[in-house]
Amino acid sequence: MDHLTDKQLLNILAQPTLDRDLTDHVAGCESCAQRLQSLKEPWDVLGQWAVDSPDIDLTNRIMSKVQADAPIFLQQPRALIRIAASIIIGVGVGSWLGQTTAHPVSDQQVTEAMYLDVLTLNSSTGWTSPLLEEGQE
Amino acid sequence: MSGPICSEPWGGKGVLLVIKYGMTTWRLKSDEQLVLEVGKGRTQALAELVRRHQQRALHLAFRSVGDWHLAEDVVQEAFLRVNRAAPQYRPDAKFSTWFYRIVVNLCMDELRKLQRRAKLSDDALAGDVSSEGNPQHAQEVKELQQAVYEALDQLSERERLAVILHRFEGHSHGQITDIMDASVSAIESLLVRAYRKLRQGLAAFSDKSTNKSQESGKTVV
Repeated sequence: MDHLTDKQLLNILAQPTLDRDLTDHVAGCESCAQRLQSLKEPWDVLGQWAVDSPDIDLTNRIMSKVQADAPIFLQQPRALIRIAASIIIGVGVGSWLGQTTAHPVSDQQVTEAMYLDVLTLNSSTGWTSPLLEEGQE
Repeated sequence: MSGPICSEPWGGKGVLLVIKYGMTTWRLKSDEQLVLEVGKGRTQALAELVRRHQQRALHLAFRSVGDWHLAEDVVQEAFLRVNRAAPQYRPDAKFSTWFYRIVVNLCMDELRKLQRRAKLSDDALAGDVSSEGNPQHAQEVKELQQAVYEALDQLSERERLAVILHRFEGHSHGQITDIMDASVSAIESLLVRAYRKLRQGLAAFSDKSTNKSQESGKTVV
């Protein structure tokens, strides 16, 4: 007669009525019955250990931790969008203003440029040309 | 609620329906679908996973480490790890197996840290409803539970967790092998060895338990 394996004995523990053949074998085999009993005794005693859990809900605690551990840009996406928008708008407006706003040149700046031109014959502005022509006349 | 939409009679109801529909939608999704959503950054999916699995995980952790506060820390860390690893999650792996593997590994880490496992506090010991008004029976129940905890304490971390998964969580051998990342034969040997060790530690209570089972016709789980 083939005795029951440990796996079969453990299966009987968990589901005693699942396999009639196994239980019938145990009923007729003293060795298997003793082996099963050695497992069943602690199994039954363990069953007395009921766990009456306190009213615990970890949802808020876990979600708070997830939020806290997230990178800053994930924690406040709306703020990030506002900051990005502000930068884009600021750069865009500034660029537009820089291109469209005229900067009048003062008389002093013109005089200074002419003095600089006189120092060199190759004037980039061409302003000294009339003076030189007047001198030649 | 206020605003142009909600000021209409149907507006407020519509918003509530949208919120309720959203919550219901999460509840209709499978665990695996929820993890994929978590991987995309949808935190409500993680909240739904917590709602579904926290109690069972807490019981598992408590039976392993013997302290509710420690069990809460273990379960919290397990869900945080789920959140971090969700982008890499593959749906071919069953979520419950993956999650309980994380919980079991965290429990084993805690058990190794505990140099000397404390006795179960009175708060941790369950109050048997049937012992109300019967102090002697209540005391017997507490002694039994303490003995069970101490007997489990004599097992190795793997033996202990295998027994908890098998006896209290109702996992099959195949599920336990997946959770504990071991072969079927290894788990079966582990369980048999563990039960035989427990038999020695709980011998004094075996007869009482047998008599009570025969009287009541059922076993308390």
